[in-house]
Amino acid sequence: MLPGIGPVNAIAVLFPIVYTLEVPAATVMILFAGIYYGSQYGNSISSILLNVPGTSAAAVTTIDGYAMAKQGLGGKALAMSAIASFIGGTISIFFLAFFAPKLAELAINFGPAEYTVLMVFAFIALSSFSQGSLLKAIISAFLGLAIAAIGIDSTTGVSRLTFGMMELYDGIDFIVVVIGFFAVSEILIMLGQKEGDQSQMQPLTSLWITFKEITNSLATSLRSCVSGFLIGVLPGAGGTIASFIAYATEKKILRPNQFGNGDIRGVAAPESANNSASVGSFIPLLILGVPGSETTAVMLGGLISFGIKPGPLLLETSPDVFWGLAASMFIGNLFLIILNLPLVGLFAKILQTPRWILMSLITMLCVVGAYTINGSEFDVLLILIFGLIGYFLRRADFPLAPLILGVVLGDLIETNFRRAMIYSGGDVIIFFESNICLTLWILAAVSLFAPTLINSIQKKVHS
Amino acid sequence: MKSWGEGGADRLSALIILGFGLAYGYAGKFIQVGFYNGDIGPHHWIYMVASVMVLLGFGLVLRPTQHEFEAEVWEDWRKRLPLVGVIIIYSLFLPYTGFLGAMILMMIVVAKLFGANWKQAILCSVILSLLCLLLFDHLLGISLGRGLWLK
Repeated sequence: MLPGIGPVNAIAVLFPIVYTLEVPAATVMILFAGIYYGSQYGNSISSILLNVPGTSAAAVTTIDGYAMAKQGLGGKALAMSAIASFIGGTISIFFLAFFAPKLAELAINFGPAEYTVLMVFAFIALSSFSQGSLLKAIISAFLGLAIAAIGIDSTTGVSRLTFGMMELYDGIDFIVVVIGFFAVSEILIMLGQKEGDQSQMQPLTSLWITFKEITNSLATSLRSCVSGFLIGVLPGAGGTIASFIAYATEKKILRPNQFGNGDIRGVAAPESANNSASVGSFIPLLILGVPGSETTAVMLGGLISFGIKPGPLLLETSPDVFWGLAASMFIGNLFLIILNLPLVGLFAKILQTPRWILMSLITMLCVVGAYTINGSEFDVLLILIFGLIGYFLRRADFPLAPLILGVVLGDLIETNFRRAMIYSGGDVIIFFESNICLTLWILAAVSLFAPTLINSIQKKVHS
Repeated sequence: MKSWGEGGADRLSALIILGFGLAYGYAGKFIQVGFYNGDIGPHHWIYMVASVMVLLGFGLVLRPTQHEFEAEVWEDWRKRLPLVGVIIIYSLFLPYTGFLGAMILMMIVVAKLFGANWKQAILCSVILSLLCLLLFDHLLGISLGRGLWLK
């Protein structure tokens, strides 16, 4: 909800706490998932009332949401956002429960070569869908791989790039990397910004929404839910693209419309789509072990830290994680609508919390979080170093999601790559032999060109 | 505001990436590879990552993006450097002063940097640090560093 402090920062800050508490993996996943899809709705509050989207996925909501708020209809827009989020989130859970086992059956035939190509596909998809230059995204991914290689090599037990420092023998904990690159760099960026003019916030009006308005937006919410889910399943695509495409589609389908000037369906479309996409993104994360966004990349790291290996066998080895998550999403969505509507006034007030309180609290949680992982001051220094590197990378327009993916998947991709090479006697043809590998290479090639097509859709929305 | 000029910041970033790639590859030379020397060993991966980074660095030098970046403003760094300093001081003081002393000091500086007045900064840092200590150390049983005086 708070601009700049997205779900990834919330998870980064909370992860060390739950890690040290030794909570079961399923519970942790449920907590993270709750933060993730709860934030999709939370973002709409700042988008609608402040015209400041908390994350890029909520950017489209500002177009009609803020226009409604300026007309004194902010309450209505928030109510519609909650209802559309509920529809999108709930229906997509059924899609998740239906499609995930089917994909798991398909993915059971994966060997080291297939896994390597799958991870290459994940890197390409996430990099090509990242904002800005593809080259920078790939550099970012390789920086992640470089960090992941530090420590004891899991195949041979040889120490690499530790320079005799005992603290580096176990490698760099991914959560230290996440806190540094995301949270600390965010604090450094915020230190250079002036405090926002909070008087710009539109007053919160009645949340009363008519039955006719709900039924008028129902078809929009349902269509956006389906498209959002399908886009969410694609690694790298995520809520931002889902909401843009849903908005563009509805703008084209619904004639006449007031899109851009405060049409309530212009709020329903992106909100339903981005919630649905956030549920859809759990399919590649849990079944293939391929995260589709920076938040799911952090979640993947969390799962691995808890000894859970996401992949086709997850449904058999840890069914509690998968089905617990699906059930929690449904309950979470129910609570989202029950709690958020009456409490939205309170949430809106949080937006006016003085920045010095908020940032002091976040800084404290970052430092404490880093320390509690290993009880080491060295990790506190590491988050600072990564924070500074992250700050410069962000200033130079390098996306951070591929870097986190590199850190999280670094060990897995290296292990699978080396295994595949040993099986083939050093022949790289192994990565092109099976039909699965070839399909994944084709998908990787498609994902390279997809952003060009999506950019043209986004330009149409803006125009 | 002064900018780096077209592609300037990208070229600078590219040179840093290139240098990092070279240093990373060079560091790979010192890995004790043992009996894995003939196969795909732990050092080959390092060489591979380093080589690709060098290539990508070259790529960015040759084809920087069109996007222009604003140059760093010294005024902003006058706020950022104290934050950097205070986190370093926190990690150095923690083993001696314990969590409470080090955290209160850090939080006062952070709150001041974000615009609080002295009274607000002291109050906020003391209350938040105490709450944090209560939550982690006493309720959850997670040690936040007790310092020499409590050992």
